[in-house]
Formats: sequence, C-alpha cells, structure tokens
Amino acid sequence: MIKIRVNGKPVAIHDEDKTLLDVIKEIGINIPALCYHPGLPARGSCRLCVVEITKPSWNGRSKIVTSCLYPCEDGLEVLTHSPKVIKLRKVIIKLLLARCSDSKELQELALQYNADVSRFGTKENEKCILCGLCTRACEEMGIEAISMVNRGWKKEVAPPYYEPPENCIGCGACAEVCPVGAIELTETNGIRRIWNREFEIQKCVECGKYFATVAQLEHLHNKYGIPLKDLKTCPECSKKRVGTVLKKTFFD
Amino acid sequence: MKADFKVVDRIIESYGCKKNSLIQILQDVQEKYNYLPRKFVERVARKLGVSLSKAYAVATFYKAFSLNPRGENLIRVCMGTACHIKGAPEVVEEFSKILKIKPGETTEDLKYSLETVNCVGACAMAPVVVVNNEYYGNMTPGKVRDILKKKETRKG
Amino acid sequence: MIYPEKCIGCSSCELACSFQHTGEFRPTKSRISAIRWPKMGVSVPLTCLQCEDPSCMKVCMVGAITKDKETGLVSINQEKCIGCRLCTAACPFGNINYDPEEAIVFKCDLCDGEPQCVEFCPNNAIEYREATDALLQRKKKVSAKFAEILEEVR
Repeated sequence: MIKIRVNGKPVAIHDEDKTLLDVIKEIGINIPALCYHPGLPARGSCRLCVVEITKPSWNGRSKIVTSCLYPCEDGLEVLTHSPKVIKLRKVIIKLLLARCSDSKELQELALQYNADVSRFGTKENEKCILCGLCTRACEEMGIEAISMVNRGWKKEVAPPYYEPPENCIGCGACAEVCPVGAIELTETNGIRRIWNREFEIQKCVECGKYFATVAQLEHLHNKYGIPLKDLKTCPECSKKRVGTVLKKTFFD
Repeated sequence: MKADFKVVDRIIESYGCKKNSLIQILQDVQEKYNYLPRKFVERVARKLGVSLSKAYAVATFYKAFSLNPRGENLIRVCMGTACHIKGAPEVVEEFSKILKIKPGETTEDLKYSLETVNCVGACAMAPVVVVNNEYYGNMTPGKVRDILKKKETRKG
Repeated sequence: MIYPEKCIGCSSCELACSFQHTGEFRPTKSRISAIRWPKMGVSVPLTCLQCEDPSCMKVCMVGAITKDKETGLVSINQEKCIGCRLCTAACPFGNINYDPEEAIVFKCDLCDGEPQCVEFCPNNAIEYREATDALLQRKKKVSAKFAEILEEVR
C-alpha cells in the first residue's frame, strides 16, 4: 500500500499501477486534462494536468510533473492548485488558446483560470491541439491510419502523404475521443466522410437501415473470422432473428 | 524498378528486418537515392511490419530525410540562434537570389537544394553553411558566390 | 432465464429498463426488447446473454468491455470506450446498441443485480436467479433445439 497526500489530505492507494491523475480524479478533485482518456495510454502532451510534488526528504524543493504520467510513490505530497501550478496552467491555457482561439473547451478553461488575455499571437482556423488522442485511439484499434506528421510549427495529424487513408475503417473513434472536436465526420445518404475518404455504410439486409461502414464489417471479418453474411444485419434485426429462432424453439 | 527494390530489400536485410531499425534503413535509402521515394517508404514499412503512417511520421519528422528529390549538392544554412544573430538570414537570401529557389526547394536542373537547419553545433564559427558535408564558417553574403563557383569548377 | 410462453408483449420490461437507465420511458433506449408476432399472439423477451466468450469483448481493443469472473456479467466501461462501435456489429444477437443522442454504446448491465425488467414483468416471463440443476437442464435443452433451428434458418 502506498500513502500519499493530496492537497494535505492523506490518501491510501492499493493499486500501485495508478498514476497521480487517477488518484486525483478518484478523490473528486477536478484538474483539466485534455489529452487524457481512461481507455488509452497516457502521453502527457497537453500539459494541463501538471501538479506540484514534493517529499519531506527533498529539503523543501518541489517538482512540476504531468500527473497523467507520474506514478504514485510512497510519501509524495501533491499540490493540484498551488500558486505555481495555477500560474503554469494559465500559461499553458493561453498557449493552447493562442493556437485554437475558437475552441469552446479552451475558452471555458480560460474563463475558469482567468486567462482571458493572450499575449501570444493567434493562429487562424486551427482546431487541433495536437494532443495525440486520435492517433493513440487509431493505434490501439490496430489500424494506424493516421499519425503525427512533420515537426515543430508544421506538426499536424494526417494520414500518410495526406491522401485518403487506405487502411482506415471509418470507425470514427478518432473523432469520438478528440477533446476539442477537431476531426470532421459527416454522414449523408449512406456515405460517411472522414479523413477525406468516403465510406460506404452497410444497409441492413433486413430493414434497410444504415448501421456500420462496410470497411468496419470487413475488418471484423478479416480479423476475427466472423462470416460477412452474419454481419449484414443491424443490431435490431439480429435481435429479431434470434427472436424468430426462439419463437420456433418454443412455439412451433 | 525491380533492381531498385532489390537494393532496398538488401538494405532492409542488412539490418535484420527489425522494426526498430526503421530509422537506420530510411537513412541508408536516403543516402542511396538522395531522397525517400514513396514506393520505397511503402516497401520498408510493409517489410518491417510497421504501418505506413508510422513510417511517414518518421520520414517527415527528421530533417535528414527528404520526401522530394534533392539536388546533387545540398546546401544547409544554419539558422540556430547564434547564426541567426550573426547574419544567417542574409546568407540564405543570397543563396535564394542566385539559385532562384526558396529554402526547402531544389533547382530545376537538380543541382542544388537549399535548406535551413536549426543548429549544426558549430556556433563558434557562426554563421555556418554546410554544403554536402563541408563546413563553411564565418559566412557572409559575399562568400556565397565563391562557394557556388567552387562547386561548379569542381564539377567541370 | 426467459419464459417466452409467459410473455404477453406488454412492454413493461422495456419501459422499466429505459426508465432505470435514462430516466425516460423510451423503449428504443431499453436494453431489453420483446420481439412480437401480434397475429400469433406470441412474443419473446430478449436481452444480453452475458456470453461465456463474448464477441463484443473480443473486438474491444481498449478493454472497455469486461466479463466479471464471479458474476459473469459482461459490462461496458463508458469512460474507457473510444466509440469505435465495433461491438455493436460484432454481437451476433444484436444486444449492444448505439445511442446517437448520448454518443454511447449500451447493453444490459443487470441493474447491478436487481434487474428492473424482472421486477416489473407482470407475468414472470423473465427470471433472474441462481442457476440450479433443473434450470441448467432446461437451458441445455432449449439451446440444443435453438442451435438446430438456427442451422435450418441459415
């Protein structure tokens, strides 16, 4: 068991794999963490979850760390809202806001942290904060259709060679996990558009409802060997099919 | 084309076809062809079992790699802090004017590519220009023509 | 355990379920549905079977779907879910659905051990209890016949 203190309050931790952010969230303290998703590996790229840590043996010195990556260590004293942390978080919000001035999420944070005036120039029409949640989601899916390309001020998320990605299955997880809604996904007339590629959506062979991209179903078929014909009915009709069989089982 | 793939395959084999040799393999391909042709990046990715998106990320991250053909002579002007202060921008401008290309571009005859880099670790002799692997220190716009002339005569 | 012969297709289970999970009486948001054949006067209540080897769990790459070793419950951790929706297509019984309003996938969670559908079923067509030998016997018999008919239908 590990014992730490968060804002002076003692906390006992049984699961040693937990990070500081896990613990902070668990005890109900709210700190911003845009690039954090419980289902994906942490990366510490948005820097908003910074906290100040110290130990009695550090002779009064403290460190600033990203709590989403920092493991719980016995005897740690964690400050989530110390003046130093607030000051830093404010700068980070300002920098992110300078990049993505239209982001509602960032504007809300700015309000919360009183970081309304940006002394940095603003970039136009930029939505992405480069947190990498989308690329991590795609990687976890085992697809890796998109990645972080270029570096420095030219860095951005894109499919290879900026072309519609061949291996993308159009599942939309990247758009779903994006904390600032920067990835566009549209659906019209049985076509899903994402990453400049058009995906045909499967029409349920029973009721005609659109329910999943053909590429998603092919992925399920190729990876898990589920017969394609079993994948062509929407959940409702699959259920009906089971119902029909059960009806026959009981009543015929 | 087939012969070219063989060359690339040999490079891949020489590193034991391991995922973590991606950078070294791309470096060798870059050295051999002076840039990373797309078909080879795809080949390397497929052979190593690395996704194309990852290979592309690596290929676009490092300044040492180029996805477009580079000229015979690669001129890199250091724009690190020290060089910048001591007049590197003027040096770049002079190269641009003479070669009629902007940084990041290659002359039509594929003779020269002009690039700016962030530090070559030779700040003491700032501003620095690196042509292929030769270093020229204490550069001035006036010395630009001399360097280019030297390249021409050496070729001739 | 379900008893289709007792189901009267009254929708009580669907209403109770949707109310329990969303606070609204909306059968489309129910985790259980009664499939009806009104002309024959027959209906069958269906919900997640908490499979031994769940397809939904297998296709979930971020471990958001897990099966409890003790209770056997297959549950979705909404926090971990990244919204790829593969589980909805992978479930052969159509028991995971996507809610476009909330942008979540949802399935039966047995109401933490007190299933409201069971509570509100007026005719005891749905039961939730410890498996006894007799129940398992019945289950086996039904599954065997089910498999047989399924083959024919295909």
